[in-house]
Formats: sequence, structure tokens, C-alpha cells
Amino acid sequence: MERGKREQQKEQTRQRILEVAYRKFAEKGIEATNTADIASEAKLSHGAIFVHFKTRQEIVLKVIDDFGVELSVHITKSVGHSRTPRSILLSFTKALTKFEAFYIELLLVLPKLPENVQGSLLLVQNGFAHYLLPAVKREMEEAKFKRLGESGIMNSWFALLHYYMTNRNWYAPNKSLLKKLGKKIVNEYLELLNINK
Amino acid sequence: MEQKCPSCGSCGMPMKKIEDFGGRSLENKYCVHCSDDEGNLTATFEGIVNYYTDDFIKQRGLDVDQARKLAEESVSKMSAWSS
Ligand SMILES: [Zn+2]
Repeated sequence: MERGKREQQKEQTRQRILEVAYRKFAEKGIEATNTADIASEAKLSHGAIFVHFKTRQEIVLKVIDDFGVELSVHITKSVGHSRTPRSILLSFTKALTKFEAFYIELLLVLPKLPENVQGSLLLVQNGFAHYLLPAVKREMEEAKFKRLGESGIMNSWFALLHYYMTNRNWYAPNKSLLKKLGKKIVNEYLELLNINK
Repeated sequence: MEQKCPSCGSCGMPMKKIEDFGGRSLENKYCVHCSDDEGNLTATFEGIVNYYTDDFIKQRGLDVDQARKLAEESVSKMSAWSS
């Protein structure tokens, strides 16, 4: 009983560290946040952090892992009922809005992170591709969209989206980029695919 | 975070409806594609890696060797294939 309670408390503290770390990474940047920042925000001693995680890197990786799972589920839930490319893309940007600040920080440091972390983000994007590709192909069949290969369809979407996100400061300083420009980004992408009559 | 949003411990697919769970049981840690009706894992590590490798190459245009490496690295982290 006592032991069970201790275990439970330990798990709660671990979760709190992860939640605080996620928030700090989103606010301040992943590289700029150190374990002391996380400890003080979580109201723990600096040493207490290391009871739960061996290194700072271990926290970073776990936070990104959990984020990937949560984003995936969120995207699936939100995109699942959409049929047209426009509604799928709008649902996707809407689902991403909640995670925007962290996602941007992740994009900025991704090339320097271990390959298993890079792979996790690819897996999240892969789930989304299974919604977008069939919908875009239907429009191609009906000669509404240009004929593009699958990687052209997917990569031009992420290129445009990630361009805006990593340059948020130019387009939506101090506010949510996706709230302000989500629709515009979707429109710009669809204009690229559309066949001009 | 994990408890709130289950995803398949083998392939990572989010499981949002009861039909997504193997054997239509919320107790199942694996999705319908990765397990049988009793919830036993039927997928193989190789199979999942091949699936993602093909997608990364075809849908994203990744370098062929790197696609496999990234698929292996990320699938290795799933609970069914880690440790
Ligand atoms: Zn699965």
C-alpha cells in the first residue's frame, strides 16, 4: 500500500517534469531550456530532476516522443471525418494550432536531433499522408488538380507549411500563426494544385 | 500523456475507435492490423519497418537507405519492439 503510493507519487512527479519541460521548450526553445529552468518551474530541487531522468537529453527525447503520439492522435481525430483536400488540410492546421509553439521549436532543432526522433516526426506525417493523398488523387481523377507524384503532393504541403511556421516572426509576431494564417496557407497550397481554367 | 491517447504499441497507429483495437477490445495494446482477435501480436518488426520504408520512399521521396534507417530507428522505439 505505502509502496504503491510512493510509486504513484514518483510517477506524478515524472509527469509534472515532462509537462513543465514541454511548456518551457515551447516558450523558450528546446536548446535554450536547461534542467535548472525545468526544476524551478516544477518547484523541485535541481537534483530531484535527475532521480527521474539521467540526462537533459533524456527529457528532451521523452517530451518529443509523447508529443508525437499526442499530435498523431489529435490529427487522426480531427482529420478523420474530412473528405475534401481543403477540409483535410484545414483540420490538420487546426489540430496543429494547439501544438504550434512546440512544433516550431521542434522544426528548428530537428536536423540536430537523433535519427529516431526525426523518424518519429516522419511517422506522424505519414499518418496524415494517408488522408491527404487519396483526397488529392480524387481531384486529379476529376481533372481539377494537376497530376503530381505522391512526394510532390506531400512535400510541397510541408514545405509551404514549415516555411511559414519557421518564419512566424515575419508573419504573425507574438501571436498564433496558424490561427491568423492557417486558411491562407491552405489556399496558397491548393492554388498550386489547381488547374487554372 | 499516453493513457489519454492510445496508439498501437507495434506500429504507432492512433486507435480512436473500438474497431481500431485488435479483437475490438480496449484492453488490447495493439491495433487491428498488428494483432489477432485474442490480442496476440501478429505483426513482425521487419513487416512494420518495410511498410514505413516503402511509404517514406514513395510518398516522401527519401533516400532509399536513409528511409530504411529512419523507419528502423523509429519503429524500434515502439513498446512491442523496444528492450
Ligand atoms: Zn499496429
